[in-house]
Amino acid sequence: MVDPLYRLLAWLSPAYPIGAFSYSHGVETAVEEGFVKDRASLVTWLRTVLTDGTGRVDGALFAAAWRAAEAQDWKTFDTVAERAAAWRGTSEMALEQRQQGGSFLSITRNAWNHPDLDATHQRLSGEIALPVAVALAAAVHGIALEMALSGYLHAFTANLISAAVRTVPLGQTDGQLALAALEATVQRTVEAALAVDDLDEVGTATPLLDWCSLKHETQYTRLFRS
Amino acid sequence: MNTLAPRMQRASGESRVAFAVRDGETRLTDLYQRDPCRILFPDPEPGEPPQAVLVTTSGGIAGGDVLKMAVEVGPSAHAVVATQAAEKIYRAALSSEPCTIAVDLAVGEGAILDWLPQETIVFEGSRLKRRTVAEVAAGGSLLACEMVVLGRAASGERFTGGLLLDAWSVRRGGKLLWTDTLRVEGETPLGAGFGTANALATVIGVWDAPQPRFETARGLLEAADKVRAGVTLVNGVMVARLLGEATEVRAATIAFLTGFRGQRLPRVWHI
Repeated sequence: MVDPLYRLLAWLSPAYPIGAFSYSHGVETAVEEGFVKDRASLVTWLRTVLTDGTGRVDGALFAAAWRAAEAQDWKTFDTVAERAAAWRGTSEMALEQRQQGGSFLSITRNAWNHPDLDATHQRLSGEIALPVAVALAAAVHGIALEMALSGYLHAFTANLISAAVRTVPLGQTDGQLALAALEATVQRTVEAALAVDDLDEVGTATPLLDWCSLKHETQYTRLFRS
Repeated sequence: MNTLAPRMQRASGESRVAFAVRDGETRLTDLYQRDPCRILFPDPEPGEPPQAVLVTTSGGIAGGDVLKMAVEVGPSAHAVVATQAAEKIYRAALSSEPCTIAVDLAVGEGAILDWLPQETIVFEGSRLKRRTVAEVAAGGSLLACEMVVLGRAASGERFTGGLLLDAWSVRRGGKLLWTDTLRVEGETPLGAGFGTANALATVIGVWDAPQPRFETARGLLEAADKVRAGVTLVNGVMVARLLGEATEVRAATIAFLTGFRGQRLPRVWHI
């Protein structure tokens, strides 16, 4: 009997070589522009990114993709995948999800392969957004949706906190305090995603996040690719 | 009786307009209008393409109203479509369905559509769901602008208890290239939300070779100093955003579009 937790922890670990550390999802510009300057403002910023921004959309896409893959409904899955690729506010946010999603699928096909991963890779020519790729792997390897999605949004949050810790800079303990402060928010975001039955009703209210990502394209000094 | 609803009769309006090339010129080839949707055809400036101006004759949209608008520009045709005034979305009874607006834009091979409606103002307590779908054939060009204002900014009204769902999809050759949905329900969020802004304009561009246009847009937007502005090229679609105070966003959007198109906006924008 395989332990699904072992795989999930491997895939969502910062050590899984998909290059997560090189993306800040606008945090670098949010710091530059003074929106994020300490732990409190970081928590406020990320709370909105989760509940009203990317977390909201990617959570809903993750759940829809997981359910389609679990049901072996590849037509619906591909529609969700197309939508996930198109639903990116800026070129850097698109790159962030496409590059990591492609890498995730490729590495997972090597280390934890499953015929449905190969088949999906073929159908989509390797082009897949990260939330859809992780949802696919979780579904075909029998990892429960709620656990996989909690893990995904935790990893997303922890990665942005790590970007902020390096950029603001903040102490390592402050980073973990921020992660602890966002525990309930991540849980709420998971619940909101599970409750979505129509992706047409999902949207974001985070134009400042989009603006930071737009500004990042021309930011003078940059550590991150987004 | 529900005293919040001024009209028990809900509007169900529709307009459809199509342009195509006939005898070497862009001409109107189809027109359908049902109240409260009407279409006017002002004379374009010399040397400019035909113009259609959409009008909502009820003066505003209330809860439960259903409007459909379709614009089609056939192969190699060129048209400009605007709206006569800002679209006002009135406060809705909590029990009423949101009003819905469906906009369909179809741009044929080698055709050009400039979709330039004026701003949509969602009054406090209003509920709107709008979905715009643009299908642009290979070789077709689209420049589209949308501006939303949260609350009647001129009287200091804020938007704290309504719903604005504004969804955009751009399809090319049957494939979904780009999509985005703004959803503001109740208070706008702190943090990465709107900040102090109450207006957001989005300008979307689709061309076969978008890179030079994108660079032009970036140069123009660097001059916008009273709003937060930026532009990106995502999945081959140019997306520019202007965020700020409503009057400033309108002024910056007019300045940007004027510079970008190299000509004045349709006259309705200047009245």
